Amino acid sequence: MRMTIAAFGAVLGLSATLPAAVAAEWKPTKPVEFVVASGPGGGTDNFARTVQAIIGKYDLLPVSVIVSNKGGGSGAEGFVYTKLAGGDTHKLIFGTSNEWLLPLVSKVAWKPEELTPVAAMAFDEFVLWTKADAPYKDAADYVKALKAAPEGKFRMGGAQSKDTDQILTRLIEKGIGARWTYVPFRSGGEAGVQLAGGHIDSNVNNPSESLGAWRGGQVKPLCVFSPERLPEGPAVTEGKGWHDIPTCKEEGIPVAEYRMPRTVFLPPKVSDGVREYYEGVLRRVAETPEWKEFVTRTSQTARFMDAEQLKTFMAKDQKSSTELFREEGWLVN
Amino acid sequence: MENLEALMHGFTVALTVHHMALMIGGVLLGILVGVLPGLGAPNGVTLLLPLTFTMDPVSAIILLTSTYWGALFGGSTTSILFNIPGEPSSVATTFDGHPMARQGRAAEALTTAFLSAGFGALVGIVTITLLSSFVASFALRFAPPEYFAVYFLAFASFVAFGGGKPLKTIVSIVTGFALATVGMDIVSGGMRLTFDMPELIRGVSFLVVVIGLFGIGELLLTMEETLEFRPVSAHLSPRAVLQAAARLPRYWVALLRSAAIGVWMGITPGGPTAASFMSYGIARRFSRNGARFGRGEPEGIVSPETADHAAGTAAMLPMLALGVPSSATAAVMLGGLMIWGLNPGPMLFIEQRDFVWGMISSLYLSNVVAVVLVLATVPLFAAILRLPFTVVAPLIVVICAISAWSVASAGFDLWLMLVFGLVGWGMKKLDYPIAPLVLAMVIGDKAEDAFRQSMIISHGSFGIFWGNALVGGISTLAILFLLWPVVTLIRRPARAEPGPAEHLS
Amino acid sequence: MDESTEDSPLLSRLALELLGALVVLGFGITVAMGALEHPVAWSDQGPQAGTLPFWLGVIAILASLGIAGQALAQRRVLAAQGVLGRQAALRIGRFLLPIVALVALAVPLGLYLTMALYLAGMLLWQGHGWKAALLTAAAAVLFSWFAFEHWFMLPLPKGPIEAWLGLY
Repeated sequence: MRMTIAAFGAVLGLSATLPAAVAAEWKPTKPVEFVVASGPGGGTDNFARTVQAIIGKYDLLPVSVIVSNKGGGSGAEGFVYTKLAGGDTHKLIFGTSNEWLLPLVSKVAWKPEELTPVAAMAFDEFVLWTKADAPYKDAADYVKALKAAPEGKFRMGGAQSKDTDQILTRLIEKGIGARWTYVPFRSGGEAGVQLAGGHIDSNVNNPSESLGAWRGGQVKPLCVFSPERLPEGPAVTEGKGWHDIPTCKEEGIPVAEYRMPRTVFLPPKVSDGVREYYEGVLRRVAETPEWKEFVTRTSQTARFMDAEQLKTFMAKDQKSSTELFREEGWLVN
Repeated sequence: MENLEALMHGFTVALTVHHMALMIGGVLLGILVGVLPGLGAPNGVTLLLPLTFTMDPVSAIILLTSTYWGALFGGSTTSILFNIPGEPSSVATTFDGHPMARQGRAAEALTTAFLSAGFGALVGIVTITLLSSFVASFALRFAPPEYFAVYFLAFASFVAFGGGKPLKTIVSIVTGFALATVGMDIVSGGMRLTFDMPELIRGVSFLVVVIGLFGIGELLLTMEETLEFRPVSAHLSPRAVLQAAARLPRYWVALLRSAAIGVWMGITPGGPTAASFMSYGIARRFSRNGARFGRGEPEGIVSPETADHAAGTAAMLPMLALGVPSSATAAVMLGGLMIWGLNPGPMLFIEQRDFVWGMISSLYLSNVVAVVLVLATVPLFAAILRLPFTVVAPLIVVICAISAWSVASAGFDLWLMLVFGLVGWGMKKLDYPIAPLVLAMVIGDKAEDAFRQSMIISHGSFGIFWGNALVGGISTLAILFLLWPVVTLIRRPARAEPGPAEHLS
Repeated sequence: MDESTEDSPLLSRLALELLGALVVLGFGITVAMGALEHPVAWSDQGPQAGTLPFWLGVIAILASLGIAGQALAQRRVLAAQGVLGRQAALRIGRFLLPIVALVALAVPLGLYLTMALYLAGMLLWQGHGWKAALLTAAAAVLFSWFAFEHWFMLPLPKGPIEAWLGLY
């Protein structure tokens, strides 16, 4: 096995990133279960299945991989399942920031610190969208109209409640000093169709959730919540591409950065050796052309965070979210 | 007629030996996963997804849609033979399908189910072919109030035309809605009725409840009679299949009405399961044979099956054009589209004509292939019924247990299945109707979400349900349906509730 | 020969109706209590998280009382109707208990072993002989093993036997 990994590592030109010796210390001995904290077909599901496909293609694990969807309760089902599997070295859970956000806003049976962070593999961007024929030429224009209207006249749609979409909405509201009526839908896709139909005024969908509708001339992007513009790429529609979307900061919305990490965790009480093993496997996945292709196609930002970096990120995000949730009265404990 | 040309072009894309082989393989695998309830179409399609990564998109979607058809047909098979609905949308098929099987008319019931399902699917595909551009823009007009009105209409048309004892019907409805509220509430983001039990976080699985209520409950009722129960020997000859096929045109009214209901529920967000219930409820009220429903009336199979498949097919269109999945299976297929490098959305029809029309024409072909293949399995399945019941019953129990487990890989669900088996037995004994519970559970959480979203949008005003002609029309119709029993009561005050309808459970 | 007519009655319709009403009452109370963890009022945003479940619980409670009332009003007629005889109850029990055992043992022993034991036991008990019993059990186990572990990649619960055989 070590030879295979080394061989593939050499093929990919990444033998330097991880000493093969680490992999030799511990190895999975039975099929590894990829628990997906969402239903089939969602963004998290595509994330896990892409990783599975790449692992299969490059033979990065000596055993087979079984993917199981446990998306009940906005992913809570999967996290509880993983928590209860304490010490199990053959389970990985694929999620987002919901691993630490859900326990803040609803009564669930795990604490964010209980699971073992392994890595974050990419960041999904958020974009402010309106209907294509809406009368606003840019985000600043839209904000002006929002401020002029009576409070709550404009509707912002999003996936779920007290989750990333609503958090971002609240952050914008606090920044600009105006309020939407926030309407929670089951998924970003649903919020996208509601926007295309003109039943809501805007949403903050991820790029991949609204790509089809943008190409079809149903919605248009106003600004992206990232510190710099998205990378250059082929035009999406009428000569416009992702790079042409201004950042929200440029447009005067004081939310410079809001992104959702694609995270991977192990159950509690797993040794460092095991964690390092999977960290190494995921790092190799992140360096394959297939992964880069997936990240580009779904307009996410490729950035690999190892366990330590993920822990730091978690702590920071948890702290700021807790503050916001306290103000909103969303905290359950 | 531009669409017809495109369709002809599509046939040239789809009609190759390679694609036909994929269709046959997909249908057979689908029948297998469909026969094992709990596994079902979403799982079958998910399993095949990794295989499709290396295929071209047309072959991939052909394989997946064929599996989907196969699974739907397989689901009807277990509904009829064992009273276990393999798919949520085949619950309504058990109402008359299983009684027919018990009377030794399994082959007739299966043939009727498959052929009417095939007819429904064909109507659905024709609708897609002719109205693709119109349907997509129509679906865009649906906002939360319209969603709610559609669910309300489906519910009203099933429950109001049911009969049965009012208080017990209410208990059944209330139980279904309450079970649907368990778990995450998307509008508030909180956990409801979970009582801090981790097992309840994912909610109470509809399939587990149905496996218990129908599968185990039915076995307990049979056991009460005697373990020695032997089904009347079924007609297995191909002639039984042909005879049933020849009788089908007699139900042309039901076929057309159910196909219309199905197409309506498919392009609106109602979905196949609600469509089958609505179609059954309306048929029971308006058919001349309505009084015999629930005791083995073929029209009671024709109506839900036709509507189910018409809705399932018609729902493919909003899925492709808008990128919103109408079911778990559709969600997996959409994920597949993304992985194959296609983006669902309005441009798909313009940029990927080969793919879209290849897929639509493959729907015609794979549907025919599925009906032929599944009819060929009728004698095989009917033969199972000739085994002694003392062998079949334990096998059904094992199938139920495997199914309940595979829904969420949880031991807790096995206990839930057992409890609902007992509940199902008790409900039958005491004439509590089971069907309203099932329907309430299917549409309960979606209807509640849509209602609360509407209220958030309107800031608490009910006027939103009459906000435009579309939603106002559906809401008014739903209320008329709901008040129907009162209307009939006023018209015939002297006569008490007619007996036969009460037999339906 | 129709056994059910000669069966001595165990449970009258009245008793079962009252039992059913009691179960509904308990369910209603549970749901209403559970809903009270959330706000149950009707706000300017429409119903809140607890509103629907709370009123569902209340309706169930009222309906159960109504059903019990109706049953008591016709108690003479209903008390005379037998719904479950001793023989029938015994048959149900004999069928139900093995299922309870199957469910209870499925996770600790693994579903494969449990289903083999259950199937073989049931067939033997019904007098089908060793051959049929073993054949059925083996066929069921082999089919589900291949179907679930290999084709569908959807593992069923496994226990000590599989571990001992080194299959898992």
